[in-house]
Amino acid sequence: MKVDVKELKPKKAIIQIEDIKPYFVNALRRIMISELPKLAVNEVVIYDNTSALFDEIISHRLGLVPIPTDLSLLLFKNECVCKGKGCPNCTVRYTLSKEGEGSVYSGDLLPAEKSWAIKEDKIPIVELYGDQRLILEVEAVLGRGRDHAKWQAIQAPAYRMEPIIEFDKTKLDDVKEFITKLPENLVSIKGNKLVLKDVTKLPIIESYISKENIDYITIERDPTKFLFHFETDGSFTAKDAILESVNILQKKYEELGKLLKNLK
Amino acid sequence: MTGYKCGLCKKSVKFDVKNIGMQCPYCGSKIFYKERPTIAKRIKSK
Repeated sequence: MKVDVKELKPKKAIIQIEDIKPYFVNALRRIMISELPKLAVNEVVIYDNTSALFDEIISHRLGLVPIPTDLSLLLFKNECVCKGKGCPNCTVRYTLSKEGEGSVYSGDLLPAEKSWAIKEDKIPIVELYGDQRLILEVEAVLGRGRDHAKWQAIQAPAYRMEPIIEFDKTKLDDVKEFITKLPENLVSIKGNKLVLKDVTKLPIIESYISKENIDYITIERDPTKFLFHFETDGSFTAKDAILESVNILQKKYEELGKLLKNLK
Repeated sequence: MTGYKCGLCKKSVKFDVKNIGMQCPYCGSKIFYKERPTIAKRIKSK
């Protein structure tokens, strides 16, 4: 297996993985969607809300705010020593108090400890007019994407197989002429293959082939080479998210292995 | 008796639920906002 990091930003990553089967990449993708734990607001205690939005809508909006998550410091509420009562080991508390004209943003949620401060601080929650006010307290706990979308840290993880674009060698002149019609620097000729400079631009060449009704160029997908890309909602960095997902996948395989060893 | 806030003069008034044709005793307005009880409300974020 070969891994090449094509792009790594705080919230986005593109990784090329070679010599691998599609089901393995898909397992990683599904772990990212449904198994990677993250913090999200689960309970809201509203003391006063004279805004235009109902309490339930505000609590729903607060639930979707991404909260920076450090999995080494937190436990699931049902696995905690407090037995689900809520303690600093499993629950992160925030308060929000705002009155008067202006918007309430996610950054107005003040944590009990500064290390839990919300980084995505410009997410609008509600707009207040006149002397309207909003006073509340929230509890954020760890959860998984399979239980609710608010606990899904990774947005749109996806993979595409690398394309193999081949052409009939006897039609080399036609292929050269066809390339002149394409946008500049899109493809280059290598033997009887066309090599894309950027794999994400494949739909462009596909549309040209379809438009020109060309039958001497064929596009196939290589099921051993993948371009895996994903974005996080801000609760993890892209690097932490993929490393943590791989850990979870590894633990699941180990658990399965242990259970199978006990088979008689 | 339920507490309401007059939409015009903002004064608190109380009316019986059975009362038909509510009108503010101070300004005569017929628009009211129901006052929020002063207790904390705990909601699950769904």
